[in-house]
Amino acid sequence: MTLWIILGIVAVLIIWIISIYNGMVKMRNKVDKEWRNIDVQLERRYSLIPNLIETVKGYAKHEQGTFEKITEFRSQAMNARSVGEKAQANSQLSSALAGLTVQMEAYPELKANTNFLNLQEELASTENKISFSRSIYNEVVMDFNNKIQIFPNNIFAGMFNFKEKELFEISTAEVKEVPKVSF
Amino acid sequence: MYELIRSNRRKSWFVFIGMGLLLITAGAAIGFYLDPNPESGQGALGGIFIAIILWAIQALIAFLGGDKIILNMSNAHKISSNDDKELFNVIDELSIASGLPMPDIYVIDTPAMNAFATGTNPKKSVVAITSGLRSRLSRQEMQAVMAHEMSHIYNRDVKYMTFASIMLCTIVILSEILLRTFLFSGGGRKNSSNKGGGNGAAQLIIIVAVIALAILAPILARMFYFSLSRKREYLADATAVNFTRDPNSLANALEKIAGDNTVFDPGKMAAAMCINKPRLKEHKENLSSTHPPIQKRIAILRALSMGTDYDTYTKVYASVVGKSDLPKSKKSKS
Repeated sequence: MTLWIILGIVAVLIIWIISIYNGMVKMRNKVDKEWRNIDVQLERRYSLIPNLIETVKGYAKHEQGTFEKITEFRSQAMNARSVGEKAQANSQLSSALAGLTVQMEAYPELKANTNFLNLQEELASTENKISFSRSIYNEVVMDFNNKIQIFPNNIFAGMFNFKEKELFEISTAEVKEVPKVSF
Repeated sequence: MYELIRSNRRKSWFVFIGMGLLLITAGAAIGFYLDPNPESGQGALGGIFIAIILWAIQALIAFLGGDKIILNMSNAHKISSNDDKELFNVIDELSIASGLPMPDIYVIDTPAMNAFATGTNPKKSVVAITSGLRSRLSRQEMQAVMAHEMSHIYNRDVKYMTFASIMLCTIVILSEILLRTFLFSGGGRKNSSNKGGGNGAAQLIIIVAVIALAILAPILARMFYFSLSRKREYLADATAVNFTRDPNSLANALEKIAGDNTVFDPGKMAAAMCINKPRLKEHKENLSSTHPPIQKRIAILRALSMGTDYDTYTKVYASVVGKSDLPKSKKSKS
């Protein structure tokens, strides 16, 4: 009789641990999925930038410095490995692009270039998509981190090697609002 | 998250149950009036049965062909990304923000300024904007308006309002049948029942009650329907700013829309899903209370300086509207 009781308790414990483990795996996969969503948009932006610069160059010869800065931030962002680094580099890239937009106001001829207008629209849209995916990603990461830190999950998180995920944070000035890239 | 959808559903069920009871009462009243035999109760039961069948048939038609509303509009056309890159991108961004699948996008050629969403299933939903509105909004304002429409899909408002509006229609139809039978028979029921005995006074009271019900039921049902609709409208605003975190653009867009006086009639079903109450031809103005006063909506949005989350919206809503009865959104947790 006692044996059966002990076996019963052990079985319940095992089922309990399995459910905790599965819960953590599911959330980790969700974090990974949301990260890929951001990454797709980041890649999209990297590929749009050279086209934009190519188009704008002919009109705005004096903005060479800005172009170089953007190109440099772009390659920094592309080479960044961790989430934090990518966030940092992309936040620089975002503000540089926003700066470029303001400077382009000085070249009314550009407004007549459909190619330029299309690129601007695509970049604006990508920027918004990055910011929307970012907030979803951060929400999911927050949930995941909470999940693996609370007791008793933290014991199993340690055992099964679940590590905290990094937030995709941008510099504080931009946090409050969606970057308003109006072209 | 799903728990919150459920709690959201529960709140709306109250209104549904209210309307459902009205529907059943109206059905029972008709049945009873046509066959006033208190012993068997067959008349009343038959009436309820007919009322439910009537409702079910309409619900079936609406759900099978729900998104046809838009296809029936001769001046509506579906657009792809090449037709209007900006509009398409804006909605693509919102589908990321909301996690909803990409809806079909329609533009309706009319100078009126409005937009609406339809489709009872998020996988087969439609958002539409009039060309008049499209041409007068900035990118951010358009995003705000489309976020409001996507929020209707997100909060499953199309489904709730379709159910509710069918209930309303059925109640109106039943009441009309009731009143007409009464008028045509000239209250003649009295004579036939007099044969049964001397309970003419009781019979008269019942008839008066039935007629009162026939008049009151549609009014009550309308009140239920409009109150549901107005709340879902505020909720869509709350959800929209939660997506875009940009309440001012929505307020700006609403201000532009408020100044519009062009007649636009998307049909009864779609009206509740519009960004603002459609301005109908005069004899239809009584439909107008599907939407809360646009000035109040703007006032709430303008006051959202401290945050765009659902809780902040609820607080500001309570101070502007004076009630705290906003239904919960799926998104309300953040």
